[in-house]
Amino acid sequence: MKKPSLGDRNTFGILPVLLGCWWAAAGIAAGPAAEPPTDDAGPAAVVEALENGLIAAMRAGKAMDFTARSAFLRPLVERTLDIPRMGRFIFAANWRTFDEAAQQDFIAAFSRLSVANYAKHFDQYKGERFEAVAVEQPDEARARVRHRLIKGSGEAVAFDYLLLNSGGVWRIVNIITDGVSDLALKRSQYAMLYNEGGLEAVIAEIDAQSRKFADG
Amino acid sequence: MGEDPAAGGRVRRWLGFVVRRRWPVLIVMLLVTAAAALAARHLGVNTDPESLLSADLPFIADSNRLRAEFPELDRNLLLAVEAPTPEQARAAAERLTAALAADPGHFPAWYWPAGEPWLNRHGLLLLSTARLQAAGDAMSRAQPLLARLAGRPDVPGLYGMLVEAAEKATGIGLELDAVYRALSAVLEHAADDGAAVLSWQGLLDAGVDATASGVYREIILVTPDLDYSRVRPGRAALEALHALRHDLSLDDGAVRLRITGSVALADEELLSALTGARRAGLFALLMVGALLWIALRSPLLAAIALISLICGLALAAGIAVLAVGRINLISLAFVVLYIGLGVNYALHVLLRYRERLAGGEMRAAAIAAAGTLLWRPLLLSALTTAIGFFSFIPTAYAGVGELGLIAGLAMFVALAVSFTLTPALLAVVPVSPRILAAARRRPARRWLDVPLHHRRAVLFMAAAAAVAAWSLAGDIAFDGDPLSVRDPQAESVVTLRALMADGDTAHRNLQVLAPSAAEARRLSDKLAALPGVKRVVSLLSFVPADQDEKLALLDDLRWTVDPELLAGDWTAVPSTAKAQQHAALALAAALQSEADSGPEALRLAAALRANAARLEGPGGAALAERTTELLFSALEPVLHRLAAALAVDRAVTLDEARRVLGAHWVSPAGEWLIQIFPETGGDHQSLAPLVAAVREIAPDVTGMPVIQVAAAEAIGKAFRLAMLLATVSITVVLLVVLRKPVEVLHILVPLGIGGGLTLAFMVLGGMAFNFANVIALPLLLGVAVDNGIHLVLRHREGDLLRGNVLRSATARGIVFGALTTAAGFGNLILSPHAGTASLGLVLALGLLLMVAVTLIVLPASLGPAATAPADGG
Repeated sequence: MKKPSLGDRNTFGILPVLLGCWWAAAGIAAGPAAEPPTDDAGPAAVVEALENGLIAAMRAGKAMDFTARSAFLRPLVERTLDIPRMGRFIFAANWRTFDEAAQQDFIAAFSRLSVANYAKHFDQYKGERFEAVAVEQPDEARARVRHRLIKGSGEAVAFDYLLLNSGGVWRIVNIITDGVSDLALKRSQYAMLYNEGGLEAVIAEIDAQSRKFADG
Repeated sequence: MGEDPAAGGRVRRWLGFVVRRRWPVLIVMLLVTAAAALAARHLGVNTDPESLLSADLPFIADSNRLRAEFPELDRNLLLAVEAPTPEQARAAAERLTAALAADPGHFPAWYWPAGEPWLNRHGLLLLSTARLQAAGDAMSRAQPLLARLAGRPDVPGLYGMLVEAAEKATGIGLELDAVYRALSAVLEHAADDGAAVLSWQGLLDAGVDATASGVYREIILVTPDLDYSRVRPGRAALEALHALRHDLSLDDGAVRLRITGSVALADEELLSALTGARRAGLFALLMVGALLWIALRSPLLAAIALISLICGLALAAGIAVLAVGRINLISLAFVVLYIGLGVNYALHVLLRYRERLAGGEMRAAAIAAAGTLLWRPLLLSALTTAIGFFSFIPTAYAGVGELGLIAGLAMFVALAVSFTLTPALLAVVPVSPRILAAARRRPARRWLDVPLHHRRAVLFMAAAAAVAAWSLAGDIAFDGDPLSVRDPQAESVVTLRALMADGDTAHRNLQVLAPSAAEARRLSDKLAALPGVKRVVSLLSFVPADQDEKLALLDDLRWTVDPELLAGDWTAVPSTAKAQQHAALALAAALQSEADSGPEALRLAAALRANAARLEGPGGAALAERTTELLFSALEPVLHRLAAALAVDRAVTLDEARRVLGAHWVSPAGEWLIQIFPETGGDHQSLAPLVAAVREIAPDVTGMPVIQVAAAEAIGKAFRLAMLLATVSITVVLLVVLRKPVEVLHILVPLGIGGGLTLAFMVLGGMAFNFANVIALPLLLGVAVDNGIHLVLRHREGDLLRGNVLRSATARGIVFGALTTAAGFGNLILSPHAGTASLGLVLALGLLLMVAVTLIVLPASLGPAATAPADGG
């Protein structure tokens, strides 16, 4: 058997660890409801909609339980992240070999995981705020929105959002936290699972992770 | 021929004239010799092994066509830069090509295929879809590590990350054992000269494979400037290259440059052949001189023989200039052949002269008598030897035909010298009493009578030996590989063999030319489907298949691995010895703390502790700097190349590929080159079925395996033709001269037995015929037949002690003649040039066997001759 790398043992990569560090301990009051972006929103507006929703979830704190926070965030996640596209990027050549049903299975599972991840980790507020740095749009189809998260302590973490314009609608396809690409983490993790057990193994692992977040 | 008093009279009168006018004869000979020696200085040497074969052979014509269309494949230098890591090989190749570019005089053109920027940019696109997918996975695995290093690429940062990985399993995305192993290897040798750098390419699995022997190579093809007015046309370029190698510190060590290619092979072959010929020539002269002294028992007579030999050699070389102009590596052996053969005529004259003196004749009369008695056997000898040499002229083996022409003519030169210079010299030196004393000594060697006394037994054993030898002789093999005749120690040969073992050279490839892109595609598809073909490469190969799919994969990767990160500044940040030491010890502790620490982790912990200890010492600051360099110097070039390859978002067109690479794949005349890589790196015999299969599809296929298979056939045919020609013409000459078919048989049968024994010994010794030694047998037939002629004619002459021809001066002449010839030939064995050495071995062995069989069997088959009156029965 192949000697496992540490990627195997760490099922969720660096991003959630980083996110978890700064948000897991924060406790906030309930805020306004999550407002999904409109379809004609620019890249920056899409990013801000997600960030505002997350801040709101954090501010709500103990006022929302996991299920309520999930319900609050689900429409936001679905309207700001392009999960089908992320599936394609994560599986690359293999994605095109999946049939429609298999692709939908993955999209649904990955969507559940994203919501559960945010619901689990964005549940306390400690004075964090997002700060816009720059928006780069090299062509009509792609954009990079550079933001920073300023923690209560004043420490800054770089958040780069990669957005793709599909059919006139901007959606986030990757979040790079202090240089670490979420898609890269997912791709390497899922590629290993996929090579050993196929798509079923990947979806089983995703569901297990979602349940773990739900169970607290 | 019988008795020919008129001719005998002319020879007697000529010798009388030489003795009378000895001084003018000597002066004329001296002047002619000097002129010939001067002319011989202009003798050129042709070292192209293919030119040894007739250019009219169809496979040579195909090869010449390819060489004309793609000169860079023809006369080139193949530079192999070898290093323990791909980054070091690449960096050295970059330095080397910069140096080559700075010396266009010696290196007008060079080509580093892997260094071509266009190819590097399209490196990912040129991978197969599966390989590209795997490379993407690997890049994704490494991305987080790189992201964390990007902030501060320094040694403590790298160690710190590994501490986290080891302790908390945070996942750095790399296989940890591989990282530990690579890091240990670097740290263990960090203080050494020429230490290997940490290969990030290896860790990131960025699509580079080490060779089977574990080294990474960059291959550069150089077209050097060649000066054909010099004996070694490539010498200046090679010397410039050697100097360059020294300046770049690539002589030896971990990163080194090895040189081969046809120009280097030819130059080193020539050097080895010249060294061999010079060394063998010198030793042959010394040994022949010593043997002459023993045979003639007189330094004076030995000196006369040697002077005759040297003059004859100069004259023959002069004639070679007139006859052929340029000699080749095989005809270079002529020098040594002449030393072995040319002295025989003078030796016979001198021995007979001494015999006549001992018989009481005066000097002038003895000279005349010796010459008159010997002119016929010696002329016959020269004729038969020349026939042996000439027998290759009508064959397709042009290279040996040339040697045959030169050496055949040289035999007549040797004969002429024996009847001019030798008698003239005899006429000027005094007759010393020692000569007479030596000649009169007739020891009773009873064993010389054995063949006569036990004729039946001798003949029976000869028949048995003949049957045994010839039943083995059929197994003789032919080795058609030109590499086999070269100096196996030469750098060019050693390097080429190493490259072939790793499949890093096109040396064993087959090549096909196609008149158009469409035809190239049709042929490539058919050729690629053949069993035994590893891959088929043409310009078409550089237009990747499934480009839409691969471009989509590259797009996926651009969203995933963040090329911006890769393209950033990766200059290593220096760190103090103290900081490194602290981080090293922390990592060592972390590695050892885990209960299940594997051997690689423990090895790295030990390496880190040793490194930390040295960092504390006096050279700590320097070591810290060096460690930083070793761990990070390879990082930036690898990542920047990867970023450039990731940026490709446009499909490659054939037009684009042709614009960039066309010069190497499409000739100016529009011929498309198709390279066929065979699966096996075996010898030409194992490739013969593949050659045949390719020929079905492309009849004008060429390449080393084709040439070897065809050359082996052509030379086999040439050998059989030469053998037949030599046998028939020598038989005819013998019949005309001796007029007795039985005597002809007496002479030829022992040669047949000796030849069979030679082949049998070669088979038993595991020797094969090659381009060089295949000439030995027809040549030996011509050389060895002389001995039979001498014995038969002396037998006929009668007047023999106990009726035994073995007790005559003739037999003594034969034995010493054979010994001197074998000594001359045998010195070729010392040549570093393997072909020359094997030729020397076969010639010496064959000659000794043929002469031995002749001396034993011929007297037995002839029976006793008329006895000498003095003998009294």
